[in-house]
Parts: sequence; structure tokens; C-alpha cells
Amino acid sequence: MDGEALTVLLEWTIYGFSGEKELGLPASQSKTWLADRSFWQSWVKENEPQHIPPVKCIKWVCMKEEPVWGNEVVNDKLSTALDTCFSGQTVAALAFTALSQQSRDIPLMRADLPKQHVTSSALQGLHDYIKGKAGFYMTLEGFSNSRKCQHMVAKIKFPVPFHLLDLLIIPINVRESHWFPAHLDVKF
Amino acid sequence: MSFLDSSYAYSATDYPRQKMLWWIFYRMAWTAHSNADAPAPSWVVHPARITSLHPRLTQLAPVMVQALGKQKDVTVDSITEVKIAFIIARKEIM
Repeated sequence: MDGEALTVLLEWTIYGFSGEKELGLPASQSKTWLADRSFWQSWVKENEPQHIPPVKCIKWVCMKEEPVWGNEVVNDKLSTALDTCFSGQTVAALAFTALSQQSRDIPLMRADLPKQHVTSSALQGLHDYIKGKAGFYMTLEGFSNSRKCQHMVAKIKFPVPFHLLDLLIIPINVRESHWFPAHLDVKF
Repeated sequence: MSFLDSSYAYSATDYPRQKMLWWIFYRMAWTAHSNADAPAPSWVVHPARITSLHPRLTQLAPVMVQALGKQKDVTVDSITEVKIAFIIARKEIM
């Protein structure tokens, strides 16, 4: 194919055709999403494993729904202590607006864990949660971080509806020296 | 959903963690953007490859990974057995 034909073909592919009288190919519908490098850098940073100091294990929240992302941690002592905290009538009930498409409200309760039960050893990561009698318990810090991640994801604009994507291309930082694109085949 | 091999060739050491972050992202993006009628994403892992995944993804404790590593063939049954043995041992300690 010579250069001119290729240019014409590309123009058809890019601009498509608007009516029956015009010749050309329909506009291509990209089913690939290329992640922005700065987005992915922030994503990796926000999800980095980190040491949880005890001071961050004082304030807890209780959700009725299981967190979208996180690891369930089994700790009977902590779970019992949190059950007691969230079973009281004095718990402050807060309502946060969810960032999902439906803009649902997540019923949320907040409570401080008594000092004698505060321990960071039960948690391995910021997004850890504990299943208890009142719901799913997570530290306030972990919950806030999780919401930040949800914000980031909600703001993304995909070229086609997400479930129709065939391929995701993610920039991966290798040995902090260069980036390469990792391809994810997500065809169903 | 599958991961193309080129990803492994470029970052073998960080691969399990990257894979975990992709999966976190994919699950969250699905929750926020997908059509409710569309089938939910699934990730099918061959039992023999489960120990190569990030432990926070599989929720396998280091002792479980160690126990599975000693087995010749890792199957669904052997994973279940190791998990049950771990839960029983944990309860006995408490």
C-alpha cells in the first residue's frame, strides 16, 4: 500500500463517514484503555503496603456493606472489642456519599476503640477490615484512603463502556528507571 | 481475564505485587463503571499457580505457602486441607 492510500485509509478510520453518500470505513471504536502514567503512579502509591502505627488504630468505622477492596482479617479479640464499641447507642452515625454510579449513601458508624484494645499488630495493611456483629470494621484512616482510591477510579473516562473493553494497557515502572506497557486481556 | 506474558518478562520480581494492584484496580473500576447487567469479572487460577500470586490476594499465610510448596502436586483439595489445618491449629493456640 502506498503512502497516499494509507493516509486516506487512516482518515477514513479516524473520521469515519457521516452518511450513505460518503465513501469510507466507519470510525473505529477503540476497545483499549491506556492508563495515564501519573494515574498509575498514584494508584501504586496509594496501595503501597505500610506500617500502621497504633495511633491510626484508635478511630474505627463500621459499614453495613463489605468494602469493595480490602483484606478480611480474623482477630477475635479485636472483633469482640469492636462489637462492643459499635453496639452502643452513643455511636456517632455519619453518612458518606458513595462514589458509585448510583450515588448511594453508605450507612456508616464511627467509634473510638478503648486504649487497652488499640493494637496495630492485628492489621497487615491499611485496607484491612474485620467482620463483626455490627458489620464490617475498618480504621478511619483505611476508610479515607479507600475512598481516595474510589475517587481516582470513578474519575476515569473509558472510550467504551467498561465491560466492553478488550484490552487494558498499564504503564509499569521497572526498577524505578523506565516504564513499559503491561497488557491485560479482559475479553469475556 | 488474563495477563500477557510480556509483563512477567519485564518485572519478574515485582510481578505478584503488580498483578495484585491490577486486580484491585480492575475490581474497583468494575464496581464504579460497569453496566449492572454485565457479567462480573472472574479470575480463574490453576491450583498449581496459587502460591505464585501475592499472599494478600490469595489470603494464604506464609506457613500455608510453605506447606503447599512442599507438596508435589498442589490441587484444590490440598489447598483446602492446608487451610483447614491452619484454622484448627490457630484455634488450638487460642
